[in-house]
Amino acid sequence: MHETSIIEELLAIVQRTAEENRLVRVTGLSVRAGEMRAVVPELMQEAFTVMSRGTLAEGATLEIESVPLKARCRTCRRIVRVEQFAFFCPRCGKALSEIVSGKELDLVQVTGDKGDSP
Amino acid sequence: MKVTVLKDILDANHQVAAQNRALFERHRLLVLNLMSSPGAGKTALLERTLRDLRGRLRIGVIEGDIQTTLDARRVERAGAAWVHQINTRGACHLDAGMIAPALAGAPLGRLDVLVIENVGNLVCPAEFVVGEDHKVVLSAVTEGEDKPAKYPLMFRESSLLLVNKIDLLPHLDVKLAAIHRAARRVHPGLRILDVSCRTGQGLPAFYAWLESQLERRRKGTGRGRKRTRA
Ligand SMILES: Nc1nc2c(ncn2[C@@H]2O[C@H](COP(=O)(O)OP(=O)(O)OP(=O)(O)O)[C@@H](O)[C@H]2O)c(=O)[nH]1
Ligand SMILES: [Mg+2]
Ligand SMILES: [Zn+2]
Repeated sequence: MHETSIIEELLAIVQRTAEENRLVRVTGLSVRAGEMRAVVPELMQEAFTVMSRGTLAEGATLEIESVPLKARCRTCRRIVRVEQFAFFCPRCGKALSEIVSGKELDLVQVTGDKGDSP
Repeated sequence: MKVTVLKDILDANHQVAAQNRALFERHRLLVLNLMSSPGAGKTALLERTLRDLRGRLRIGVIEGDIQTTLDARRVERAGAAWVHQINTRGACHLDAGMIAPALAGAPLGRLDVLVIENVGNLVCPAEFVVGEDHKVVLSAVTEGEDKPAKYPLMFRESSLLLVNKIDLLPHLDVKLAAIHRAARRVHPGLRILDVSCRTGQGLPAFYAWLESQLERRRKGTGRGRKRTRA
């Protein structure tokens, strides 16, 4: 499952972020996952629990926000919600080619504790 | 303390993919990332293509497989100009970092096309770019009509859908038109070719597509050399 690979990459970025900001412990992470990305939150959580053991992020909460799939209609210029992955504008029936959200897979925020020493 | 990061989690993969891509471009190589569910016929397509285009195109193959080297041996026998096997050691997809070391010793200058046969899986391979020009997805008629709806990213990201095993249609209830409709719901305008890697039906259209993409590739990065028609 690709969730494992995603968490592996996520932990690498978290580690770097923690070092850059002198965090000794990471307590929370927030991730945005677009609907198109087919990430299963439960599998992400499981992979995170297992793979974060022994890292700065062990025990941290992982918050995954799902981002709805939206596209812009080239004909009527409106941004419409894409339901059930059917890429047609509900108003004019034209094909939707320009995805504006729903493909992202981003680490948004890291929450953690600084060390005691200044 | 809160730190705002706002970074693509797969950024490291994108960066390695960009390096792979730069290497492909230097060699003006057309690179396809070939994907499907297990057994849809990726290796069969390669075998047939290699035999039919022998002497016309120099095709190299990277085989991504979880365990065995069976597919690599099949394409080698079929006449691939270069074959490299990647054992993903359990991973259900290839990523750019697995491809990069394979390219180090590859005779890229002596190839026209490099096909990367991904691990049989309709979910994960679509998530990881490897530096390819095109994703090509294969779906066998035996898989039914609902695959595009269930695996939208794969069908959305692919430039070409090959509907394979059409020789089996007389034995099935599946309608080609329904498969096309399902695919174009997710990806309007998707190029679709119906083929049989067993009988060869429909494959000339695939070969024509390959050659036209190769020509475009060469025009795009050839910087004046090899510029044929305007
Ligand atoms: N009838 C028929 N059988 C086919 C066709 N193409 C492939 N097959 C058969 O389907 C089976 C699987 O084909 P492969 O080429 O190994 O499929 P694959 O996608 O490479 O499989 P994995 O690498 O394991 O994911 C083989 O027995 C092929 O002979 C076709 O067009 N028609
Ligand atoms: Mg195969
Ligand atoms: Zn519209």
